[in-house]
Amino acid sequence: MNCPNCANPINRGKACEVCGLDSVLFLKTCKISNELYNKGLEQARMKDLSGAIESLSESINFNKNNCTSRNLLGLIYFETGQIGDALKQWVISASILKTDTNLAKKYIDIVQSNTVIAEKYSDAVKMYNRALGYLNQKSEDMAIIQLKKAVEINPKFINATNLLALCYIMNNERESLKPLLKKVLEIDVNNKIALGYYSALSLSRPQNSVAGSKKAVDTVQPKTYKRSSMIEKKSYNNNFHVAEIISFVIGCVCTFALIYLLKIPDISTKEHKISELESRIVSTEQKHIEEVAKKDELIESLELEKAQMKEINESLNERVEVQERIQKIDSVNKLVAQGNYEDSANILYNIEVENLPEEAIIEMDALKAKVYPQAGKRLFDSAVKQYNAKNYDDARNLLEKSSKYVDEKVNTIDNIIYYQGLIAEAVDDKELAVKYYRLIVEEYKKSIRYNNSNSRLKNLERQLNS
Amino acid sequence: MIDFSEELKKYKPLLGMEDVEKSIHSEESTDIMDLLQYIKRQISTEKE
Repeated sequence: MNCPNCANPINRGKACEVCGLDSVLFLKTCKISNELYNKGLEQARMKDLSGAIESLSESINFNKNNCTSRNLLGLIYFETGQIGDALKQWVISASILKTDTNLAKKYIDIVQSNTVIAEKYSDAVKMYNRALGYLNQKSEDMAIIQLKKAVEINPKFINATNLLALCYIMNNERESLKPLLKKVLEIDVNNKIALGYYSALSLSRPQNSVAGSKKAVDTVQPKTYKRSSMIEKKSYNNNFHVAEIISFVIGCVCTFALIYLLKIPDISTKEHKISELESRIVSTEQKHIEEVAKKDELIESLELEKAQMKEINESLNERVEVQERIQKIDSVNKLVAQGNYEDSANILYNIEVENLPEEAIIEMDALKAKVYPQAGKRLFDSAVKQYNAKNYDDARNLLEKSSKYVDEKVNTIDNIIYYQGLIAEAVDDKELAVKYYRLIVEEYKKSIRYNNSNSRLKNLERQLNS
Repeated sequence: MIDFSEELKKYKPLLGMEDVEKSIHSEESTDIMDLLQYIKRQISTEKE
């Protein structure tokens, strides 16, 4: 008998003299390992994948070199979406048994030749791991997004589906929950996690999920173990071209799906940016409106201030003007003292009474009473002198000035009109002269100038009529 | 009722494709036989 470990002949006892291996013990562990493999295989055939994983892992624990167990374990891992674990088992198996008959090599080749699908499955695993991280950080929403994507990429990804179901349980989304658990139990009829959720939530179990039930066995047993479609097609279907075309088409679809999935966050980011910009515009507009309102308010207050200032200015101007008029009255007083009545009268005549203080008005009236008769008389006398000197223009001007200061006691208006008639007659303006004389004849019948005016009027009318 | 945090502990991160090689190298790959051999060696050392 040769040592199963180092292949050296064992001459005496059970232990190898070269490597020290107990051959009996070794054969026993190999036997247990093989039995566990058989159990795992049976469980896999009955769709009890989690049970099969346990049995096959134990089988490897008894014999790490059991390549068949490793191959089957890898296959089950691949089926449930754990591509990393699957590859690990196949790589170890391929390194232990380097013959072409080792299925692990074939499986690895298939995965390597279908990089698109492999990448897709790997991405699903990454998303699952990311989701776990999010859940530990209490970001359930983010986790759900990742898990949904993972399950969408690989619908047979049991761990991701179970975790998504747990998220739905926590969010109390029962409607979405049941199909997920049903799907898990369709793939793995004895999945403890899914069954646990079912019992915890008192949901009715799907019929094929009852472990060990005859019905489940009957429905599953006639079928051969359904391997991953990718592997099955590559391994057992000779029509490679059709398989490759299908894989290519699936790859294209998945690529588009992946691009779409990658675009969604981009779109959502842009939408977020748009909403951010919109809110910024709204706040800017609000600020602008507020600023305009403030400015309007400021303008209004400034205008009010301006009006007030204008009013004050006007009142000040008025006071200044009044003061100036009072000063003029004072200057009149001085002129009167000098006996200059003509200039005094002229100044008094031009001073407005409006807004003057009462004392000033009284003073003005007193001055007018004193100055006007004197000024009127003097101007009239000067006008008569100028008339006699035949300076008719000067005489006319002086009469006009004198008419401003008419005083019934000293110098009446009929005298002035009469002389205006005489001047008009002297400059041969007979029509104007007629007007003046007629005015006296009609309006001033008691005037001392009435008779002269009447005779002159008749004389002129005769001349004009002839 | 389901305790979320307890339930979450049942889920462990999975092995990614890019970590397979690292994982194989770091694996001790010990089976029952290795353990028995080890125990046997320990017993014989003690006897001596």
